[in-house]
Amino acid sequence: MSDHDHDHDHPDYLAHHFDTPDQQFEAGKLGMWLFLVTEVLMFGGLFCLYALWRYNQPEVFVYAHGFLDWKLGATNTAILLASSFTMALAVRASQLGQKGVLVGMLAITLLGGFGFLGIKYVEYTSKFSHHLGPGKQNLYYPHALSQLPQGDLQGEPVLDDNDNPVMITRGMQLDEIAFVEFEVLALGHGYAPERPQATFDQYREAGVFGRLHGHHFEDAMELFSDLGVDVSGVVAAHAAHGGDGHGHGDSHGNEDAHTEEGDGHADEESHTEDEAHGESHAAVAHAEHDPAYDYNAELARVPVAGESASASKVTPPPFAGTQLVSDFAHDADEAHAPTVLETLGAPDLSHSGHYLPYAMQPEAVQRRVHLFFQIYYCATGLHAIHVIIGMGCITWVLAKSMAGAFTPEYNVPVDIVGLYWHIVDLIWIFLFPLLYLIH
Amino acid sequence: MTVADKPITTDIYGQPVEPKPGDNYINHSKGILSWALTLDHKRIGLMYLVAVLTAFALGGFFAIFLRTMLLFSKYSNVKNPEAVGGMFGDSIGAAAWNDFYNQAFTLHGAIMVFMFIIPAIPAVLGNFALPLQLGAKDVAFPRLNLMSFYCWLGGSALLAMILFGGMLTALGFDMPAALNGLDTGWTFYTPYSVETKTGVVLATLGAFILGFSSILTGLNFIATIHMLKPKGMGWFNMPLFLWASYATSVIQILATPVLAITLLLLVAENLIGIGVFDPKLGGDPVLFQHFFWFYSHPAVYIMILPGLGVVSEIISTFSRKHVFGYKFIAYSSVAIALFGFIVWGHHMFTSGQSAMLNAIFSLLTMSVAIPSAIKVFNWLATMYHGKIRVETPMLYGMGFIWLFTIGGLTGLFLAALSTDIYFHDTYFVVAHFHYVMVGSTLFAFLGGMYYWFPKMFGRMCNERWGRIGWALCFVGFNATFFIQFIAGTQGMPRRYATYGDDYAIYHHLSTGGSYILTIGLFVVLFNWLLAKRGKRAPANPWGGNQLEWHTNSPPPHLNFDYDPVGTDPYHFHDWKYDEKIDGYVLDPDHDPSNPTHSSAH
Repeated sequence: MSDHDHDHDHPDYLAHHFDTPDQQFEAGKLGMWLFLVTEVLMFGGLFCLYALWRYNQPEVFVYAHGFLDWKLGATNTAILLASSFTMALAVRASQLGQKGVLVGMLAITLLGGFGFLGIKYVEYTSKFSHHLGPGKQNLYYPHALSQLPQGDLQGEPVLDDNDNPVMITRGMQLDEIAFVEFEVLALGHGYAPERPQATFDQYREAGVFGRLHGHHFEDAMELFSDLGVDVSGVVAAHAAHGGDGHGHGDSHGNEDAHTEEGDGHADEESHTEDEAHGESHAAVAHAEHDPAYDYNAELARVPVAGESASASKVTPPPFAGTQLVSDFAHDADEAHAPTVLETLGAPDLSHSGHYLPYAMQPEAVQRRVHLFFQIYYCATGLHAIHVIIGMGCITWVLAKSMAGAFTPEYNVPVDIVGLYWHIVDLIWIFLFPLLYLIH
Repeated sequence: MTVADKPITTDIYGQPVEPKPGDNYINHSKGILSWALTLDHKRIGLMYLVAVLTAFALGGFFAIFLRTMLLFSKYSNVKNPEAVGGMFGDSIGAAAWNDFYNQAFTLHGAIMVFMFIIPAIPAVLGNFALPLQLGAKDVAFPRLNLMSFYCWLGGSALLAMILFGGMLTALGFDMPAALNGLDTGWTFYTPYSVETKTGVVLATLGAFILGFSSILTGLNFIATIHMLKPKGMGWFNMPLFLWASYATSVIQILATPVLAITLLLLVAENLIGIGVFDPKLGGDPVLFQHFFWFYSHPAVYIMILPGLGVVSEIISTFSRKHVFGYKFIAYSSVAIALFGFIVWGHHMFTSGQSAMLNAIFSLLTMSVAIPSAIKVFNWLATMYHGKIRVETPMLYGMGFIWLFTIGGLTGLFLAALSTDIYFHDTYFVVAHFHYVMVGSTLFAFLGGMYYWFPKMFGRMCNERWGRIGWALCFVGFNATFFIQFIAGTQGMPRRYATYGDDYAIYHHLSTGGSYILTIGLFVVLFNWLLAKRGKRAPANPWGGNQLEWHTNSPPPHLNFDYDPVGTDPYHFHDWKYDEKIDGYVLDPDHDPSNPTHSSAH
């Protein structure tokens, strides 16, 4: 910089408009703190949104947070805290001029960032595989699915006899919700369903048990019988159909069995179509539910042969390859049927180890469950972007410190990148309990 | 005019300075890159000047366009909804006419607000004058300063893409919806901004990036004022423009991030349909208004506060009298900035928010009148018994007081609940905020430009044409907008492409006024352009004692030849008027700002 050639007592790192390194250092820190204020306010908007939504519908948050895995969240919290600690050590090392320690600590911090993103990736992927994505991709998005043609695994629309696309019905959406809900909340995260008998009936009628495979079926039966539900009818029906190709006595059932027609028909006898859906969703789907829809036939028709054994616990049809698009204007004011809640009373939120099934939630809650996921993705997504930016900054500082750019006299960049990393950490410290640990 | 023929300027002691190549910031280095990559705050200020004036021309074009549409919109919508009168005859249907109009007022508003008014004074005059007033060599973070400029360019490019896309659509080209203009109004209210088939996503992203530009400027100014004050300058002998800039920067830092998250949510709502603003999905569109105005009301003070600072400088300097009530003016800037954060709900009196909230916001809104009135009374007290020099900057300063007072007082009608229910979304509101945004901010900007023009370019503007331009602007502005107060009280709703016959007279007069205003603005522009051949400016043509007048015009690359010391910026008595150079000079042996008392000449 020729700008400060005239001033020979200026060290190279001191910009021409500052008088002393101290002044430059203080200015840099002040600027960074001001920038952190803007970060806090930006996330403040999201926290405000969160507070409002949660205040307005606490049941939604209690119910939907169960889909998040607090163990993964806690691990990420620990990783970020540890990386913040190593970042602080890096700042210390730069002040003491310990180049080796500085480089090492920055590298560990960077690794922490990668670890965080890796776990985030696992979390996001498992949610996407359950149709719990952001925006209209969310299974709970009201009426999004019922506007859509069913797709097969190749994404081609399923056509009826007259070559018209077969639309997904609200009933199918509710069945899918019941399946994902039971699989994630009960089998995955160990929550017990409230009102076991009603829940069991609803799941049976939604065809949930028929779609479980391997030991999941036994686990489900064990869960409900522990809760005092008589499961013998379903078990017997399941065994009868399972006898076609494999026994459910095989604790890890052959995955190929899914391609066989028999699978998923365990509860067929109690599940003739008109009655089954008519009862299970009360009259929820009175307008949208297609009485001619045959769920089990649907399962049988759509091929799942290409599916790898571990790809998804969810049987893809009828949602595979479906682009979720909704027409907002449609059926906004449509009258919705009374929910099961009205016969069962208000949900009991006093104990957190339980969940009230979606079908038994009040209609106002049902329409808002997806909002939890929207806030979840907005907040964690924006945070993840900040993590990535922070990792970029750390990489830059790491490269400079390997080149020996920092001395006890000059280490502003390490300090301000450290501050940035701490705010990224701090925001996560708030996000984690607000999203994962709701009671 | 004899001085103009000689290629010399004078320093603060009245001594002639031979201009040498490279001795001022303009000719310090040459070439496009030396400007595009410059870290010099003065050059960045000039680049901003060109940029925001271009934006102003674009926004002004749409203003004239929509006023002209209203001039020809002579049919009555009520009697004959399909007819379009005027020169267009039947060649264009009513629906197309309305679409044009919606796009015109939206682009006018969005360009003027995001690309012109918000950056105009902070980024142009602030960038140029703020470090000079501090006696500093630059702002605290010169690179961020340049980045802020390029953020402005990037955000503006997105808005411009939509704009030209909309124009091409109007001309019959097939444009993708994302580029198809914008018709939501500059406020992007949901749910319409989700339903419309125009370029909301690109426009909000553009505004988001422009927000970054604003944040970076604010951050820079706060750090600069904190860290780079010279010896002898404390908080209470800073020029008042610095107080105003500081208060503005605080708003930029605290409010703009909220706009950022609001716009991101709106983009997400548009692209993937998250539903947080959609009542059909359990969301709340009024929440968007809360979020939006939590930024945009303080943003109104981002627009006006620096103008208040400029006027404080001008009034005191041209009254040749110490500013009256320094601390009151300084604190009132901060008070306006803080009050600005708790009054946003007054934009939503008719949105269905609770009666309790309405009452609270109404009361809080009126409290803003207190610091505003403090400023006006202090300016008047400053002028009282002053030796007022009525030159072009002072004309703008006095015009500002007049227009700001009208704009402020009519604001009280809108703050009061009972009257606002009636005036809401009428031309009364349009007139009110144009008196504050155009009458006040634009006049402060033009006044500030005339005030610092000699320092920026080292040339004096033509005084006679300066006054003519001011008179045209002042008359044209009042003719355009005062009549709109009356139209509003008579019930003319804003954002309507047409009107009943009863309102024709208001619209015709208003449109006529807008043409006068346009002519006035062109006079101002040509006056500036022609100043290239004007008289060379002395170091201190107006006799101000703020530190920027203690260096040559234009300043050297590093602003000062010595390290200046802060003095009372409103102590004008050491400066003596020198007829020979038509400027003010200091006695070299009595220069409190220069510790070395050097008179090397």
